[in-house]
Amino acid sequence: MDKPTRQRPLMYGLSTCGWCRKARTWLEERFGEGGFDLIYVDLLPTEEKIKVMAELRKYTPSPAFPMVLADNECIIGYREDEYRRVFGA
Amino acid sequence: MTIDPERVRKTYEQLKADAEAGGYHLNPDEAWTLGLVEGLLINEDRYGYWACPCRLASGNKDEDLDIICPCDYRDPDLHDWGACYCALYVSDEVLEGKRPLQSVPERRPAQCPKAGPRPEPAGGIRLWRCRVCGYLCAREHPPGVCPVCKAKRERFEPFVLPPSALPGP
Ligand code: SF4
Repeated sequence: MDKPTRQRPLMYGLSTCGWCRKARTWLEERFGEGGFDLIYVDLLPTEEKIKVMAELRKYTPSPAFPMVLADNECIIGYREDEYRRVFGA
Repeated sequence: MTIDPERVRKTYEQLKADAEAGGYHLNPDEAWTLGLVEGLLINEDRYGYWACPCRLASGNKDEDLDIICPCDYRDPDLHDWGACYCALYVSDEVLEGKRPLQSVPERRPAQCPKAGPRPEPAGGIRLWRCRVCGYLCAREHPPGVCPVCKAKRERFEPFVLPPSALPGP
């Protein structure tokens, strides 16, 4: 599996999912609204969706949402403990 | 996309009544649950069925059958984690505060095995089994709606009770 390399955290989520809403709120509180990138995969056109899912499979065999990518880190599911470890509280 | 709050509220009330009647419980955090019900209605408008709000639907109903709410994974997740994957449904223990609500790992296989008729053993009694809640019935055809969990007819699979499971003469 590859490791993501990025400066800004990037969250992949679903616009209808409760855990994704919680993850978004956590990241907003930590980084501010413009401090991270957010992609709602369910809102993408089909072709883009397929591309994004292929991209996510580079980091994990079974992508699930929310999925937060940061430098060398890929956090799957709403994991406050992991967010704190990676981003500091 | 947002849904008329009136429609969300009505659906929520109906779902809650159905859940309680079947021995299930919706998450008592009303804001959370209303958010998920809105997600279900968004998916109803988008795909034509209640695709799970916390999973990426393909838009192809046959491929998504196992994740139409209530999904095939709800009951095992309620048992193991006290909540379904989305935490729309919670167990008695979570409802009563005896167990904390935590996020639930995905149990749906990454490569979904094609749902379809399974090979049937010969002989025995033919039943229909609800893939969502395990309800069994011995009718010619599956019911239109599962009387326990309200899953629709297409979620039933043939189930054969082997002769060895039957009481002897
Ligand atoms: S029962 Fe299954 S489909 Fe319905 S909200 Fe829960 S996890 Fe999603």
